Amino acid sequence: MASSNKDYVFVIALFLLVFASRLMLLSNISEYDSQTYFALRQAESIRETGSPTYTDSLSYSGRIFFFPPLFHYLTAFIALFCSIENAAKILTSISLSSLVIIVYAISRHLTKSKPIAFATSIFAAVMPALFISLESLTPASLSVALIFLLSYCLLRLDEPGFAPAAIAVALLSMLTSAQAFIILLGIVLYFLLLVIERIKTTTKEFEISVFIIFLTIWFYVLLYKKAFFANGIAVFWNNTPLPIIQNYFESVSFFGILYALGIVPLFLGIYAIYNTAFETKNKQVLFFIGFAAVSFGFLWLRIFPLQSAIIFFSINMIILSGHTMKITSNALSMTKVESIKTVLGVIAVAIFLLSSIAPLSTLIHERNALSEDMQALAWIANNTPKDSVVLGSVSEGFKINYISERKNVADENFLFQKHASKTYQDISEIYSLKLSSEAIRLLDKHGINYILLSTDTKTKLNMTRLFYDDNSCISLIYGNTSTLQPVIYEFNKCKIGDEA
Amino acid sequence: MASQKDKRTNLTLYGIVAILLFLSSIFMIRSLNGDGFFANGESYYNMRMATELSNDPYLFQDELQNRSYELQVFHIILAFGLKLIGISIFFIFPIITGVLCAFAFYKLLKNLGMPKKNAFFCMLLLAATPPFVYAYTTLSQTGLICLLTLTTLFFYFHRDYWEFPWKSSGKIYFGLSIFSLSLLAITSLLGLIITLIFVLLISLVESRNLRSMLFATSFPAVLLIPFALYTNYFHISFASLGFHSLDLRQSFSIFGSPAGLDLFFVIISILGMIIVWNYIKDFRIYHLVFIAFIALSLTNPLLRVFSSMIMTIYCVVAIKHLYYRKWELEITKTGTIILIACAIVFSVLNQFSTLISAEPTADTTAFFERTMRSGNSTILTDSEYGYFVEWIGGRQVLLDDSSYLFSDYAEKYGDYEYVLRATKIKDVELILQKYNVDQIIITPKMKEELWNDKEQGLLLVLRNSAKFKLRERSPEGIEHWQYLNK
Repeated sequence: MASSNKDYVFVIALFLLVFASRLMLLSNISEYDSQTYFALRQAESIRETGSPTYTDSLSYSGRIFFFPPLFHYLTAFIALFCSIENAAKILTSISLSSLVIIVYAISRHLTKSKPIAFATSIFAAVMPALFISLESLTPASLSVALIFLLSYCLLRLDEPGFAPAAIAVALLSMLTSAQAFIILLGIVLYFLLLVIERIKTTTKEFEISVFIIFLTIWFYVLLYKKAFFANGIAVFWNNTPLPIIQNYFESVSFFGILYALGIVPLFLGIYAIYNTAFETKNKQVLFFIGFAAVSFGFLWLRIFPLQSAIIFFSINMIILSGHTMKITSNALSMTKVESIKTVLGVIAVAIFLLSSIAPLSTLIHERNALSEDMQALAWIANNTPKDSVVLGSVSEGFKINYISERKNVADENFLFQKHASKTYQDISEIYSLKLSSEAIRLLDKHGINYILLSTDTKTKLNMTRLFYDDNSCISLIYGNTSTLQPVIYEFNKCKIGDEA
Repeated sequence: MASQKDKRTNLTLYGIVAILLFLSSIFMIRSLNGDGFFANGESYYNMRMATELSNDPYLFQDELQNRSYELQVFHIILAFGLKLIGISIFFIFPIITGVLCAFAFYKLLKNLGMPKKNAFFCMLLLAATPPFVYAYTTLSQTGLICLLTLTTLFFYFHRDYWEFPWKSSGKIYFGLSIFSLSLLAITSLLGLIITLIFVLLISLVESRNLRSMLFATSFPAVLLIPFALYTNYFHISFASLGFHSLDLRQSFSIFGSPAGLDLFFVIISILGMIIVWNYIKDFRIYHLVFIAFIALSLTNPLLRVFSSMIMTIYCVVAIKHLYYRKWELEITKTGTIILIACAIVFSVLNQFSTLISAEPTADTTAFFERTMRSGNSTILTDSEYGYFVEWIGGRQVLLDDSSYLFSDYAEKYGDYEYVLRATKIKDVELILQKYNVDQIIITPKMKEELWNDKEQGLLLVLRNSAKFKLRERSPEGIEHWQYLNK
């Protein structure tokens, strides 16, 4: 009993350490990834009105958008005691740090070995993938934690209390994010693997799985019915325009992904898959093999955002690496060099820590203070009419809504938008066109009042000003066109032919 | 025992009445809303041809579209009904055939040895599937083909015949099956092929003698010879098989197809298939055939109705298995059954609302009626609205959905595409004068799909030339343009 408590003290200490370090790192960050601003806006709306903004007057200059709201409600609840941003930071940090405990619990159940479980929880604690997404304060973080908690409950279904817990966690994860779909396919693949390996399922396993499958599909079909109608099969890719999907892997190299995954868990995990497929038949490991395969599929097919897909895949590999450690340990126990297993374990953890430190330190150093883009967005909030439409790149859409509190032309929530690709193309053209007449037609078509040419956009498009900014219909009202500083143009509502 | 039988008969009757009410409610609501009788499409062509056939039984020419007309069994039945009970035949016919189809399906399953209760549930589920509902709430040939297929199978596999083939009742059933099959053969080649496949499969499953099948097939085969020699039967049959590319938007109702497979039915039937696969190992080869059939049906609307029939059987297996198995957790049982029930209800309501709100609505109908009052020349519009324009205004259209069956299609289609993309008034006028077009109807779909909601192509010409006058624009965005330089 005392030993068990001591274990938990270690794990909880590790959890607190990760939680504290995340919070510390987050305290220096005041600029987040694009989706965070959407989440913050929803939490703010809940705090003010009691419900999220499903009918959004700012996004796409007015649209209806449905999404699972649990994360936003929890953020709004925590925000009763602090600011919304801090509430989101706390919630995401708790969620991602709790993976340390969940991975420990799963590994311990799989391997029945405390040291191995502890080693895997250390892997989870310093996994670079978790820190890639540091400035992402989105439902994805809570969703990851809940999905792995659900997989833990599914592992122990035959024990009392775990079946209702699995249903409850499944419900919560569904209400958090559409990422819950991954576990659904994981379960299906697991059953398929069981059939291939001729292993029988337990009654509870079958019952709970069938229930969760129906529940999840039913819930998402109901929630996204209109999106299915409007966007068809593209729903699975969030209706993201093709050019964005094609650039999915552009921002990260192959080695970048390897770094994020962690080389040690990757190799140990692959060995676990090999071992289970060809040598042993471990039902519980098969579950995580199925889950890892689905995560990899989602990463490959670009269904999830890169960061989320990497997190899912890495945690599965970490759990599977526990199995490799276990079989190695068992094999060594039967030799005369049994004592070497502790040394090997320590070496594995040390290699992982060393391989993680480099990417981690890079990631931490990359964080910037408040950028000039943010100042420009704040300027828009203070100096433009409330109902104006501001054009920014698609990744700046949520910032325009949240920081500038103005309507955007498009943002990254492409679902339910029938002409998302066309709008994306129009935005790209407005920035890249050299002839003013077509640009003015497009500006007019989208009812744009202001054009934000941010530092980010300038860098990406390798430009410092709009090519047609000498036109009388467009006037510079903020910034400098000779540097990479952001600039804001005002469009004077000309029609084609009016321009100089 | 007799009262038990009465109860079951009553149950079947209630089921049939429920299906009858369900199918008629769609017509009733559309009618109350003032919408067109049917969703846009084939129905309007069938109504027009049946009306013309009732006026002239020796119809060989479609005068309105100025093309030849091939006599169709479906039109003959409708024309006969029209003479008999008037225009109400157009909405009574699909409902009656729908009910008969569901009932034939029930009787067939019962004949094949399925317990009555299961067959009853299969019938009810079938009536809830989108392809079935669509087939029997539109005036399409699909409904008749399915009914003929099921009656053929029902008569062919009737127990009396197989138990006592030498008795007169057996001969009658066999004769009726040959009659149905012959009627089917001249109605649809694809329907005939599907029916023969089913006959073969069921005969193999039931280990029945295939000699009867050869005999039954020989009569329709002989019947087809004069058709092949003296009509365009094979050309039309092959041209209108109805296969399309694998487009999920057309294959699944969840993506907006009114005659697509329902996602929940697919999932439940997969579960049923897994259950049956595990329990009855001898029939695995047949399950594979069915899987292949369902996969193929993703590319054909007629096959989707038959797929729905197969899937409902698997669905009933799955639902019964889930209902009667001993669950360890009662809450999951209740939850799963409720979810399945909700899924089915959702599917029905979804289909219901899709069909009720389908174009042409009351406003669109009124708009087209107003449009048709002036002039008598050809109308240029989206080919999807072709049949509707022909029916409602008795006006010729440049292209409709049957145009592809005729030899001048390539030229007409080329000109149609050309005029829609043309940006010069001279080019537009040339085509309009060639086909004697004086009115153009632009639908929101044309604006969106042809011109990306931009003022380009024909729309640019219409809006910027004095030779065209905008007569009316509906709130839905339909525009009626008049060509003035006639």
